[in-house]
Amino acid sequence: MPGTPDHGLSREPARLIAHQPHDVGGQPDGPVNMAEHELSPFEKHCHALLDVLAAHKLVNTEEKRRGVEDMGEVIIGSLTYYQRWAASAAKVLNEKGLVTTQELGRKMVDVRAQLAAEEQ
Amino acid sequence: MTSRYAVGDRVRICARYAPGHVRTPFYVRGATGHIERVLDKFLDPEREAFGINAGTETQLYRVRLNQSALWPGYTGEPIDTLELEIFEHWLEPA
Repeated sequence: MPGTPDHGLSREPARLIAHQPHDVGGQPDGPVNMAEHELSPFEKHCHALLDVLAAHKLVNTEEKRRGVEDMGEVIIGSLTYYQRWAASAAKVLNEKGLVTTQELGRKMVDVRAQLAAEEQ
Repeated sequence: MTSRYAVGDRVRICARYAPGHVRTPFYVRGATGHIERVLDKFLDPEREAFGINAGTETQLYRVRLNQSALWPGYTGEPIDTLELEIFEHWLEPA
């Protein structure tokens, strides 16, 4: 971050806590990929689901973003845009007691089995 | 409802670094500029991020900063500015 004053955050742990991974303004990085991208069915489902969750005031936009930021830079960097949304929604719904890890885990097993059956 | 700051007021963006969901970019914290316009009030995103969907209406401003003050060694035009939208609780008089 050229020119950014230090504000006593020169110790790396302090900076890592204060500087959330989404806040990349002012930092050097590579070129922006401007290629058009056709949304996959998963991505469309994910977008629709998050819109429904927001419309019902179950997961608002800021909660979704916060849920992504909480995953940390390494996980965020390894997930696609909509994978981050899905993981964040699961986390926020779990925090609110609206979905349990057990329910979600069982459903994921069911969906995997269904997909495997469809492939055969 | 009156806002704390008016167009033209000199302001500093607070240099605060608590963990949480913060929409004030890291690289402008501590920078000084002026109020370019007074916007509406909006829910505080720092509270919305933890599920508080009402009762946190907070005044938003558009703040103008000089690029040359933000980036030492800035090679663009001296009149170049940056405008960004900052909530009132992130501003202090300068």
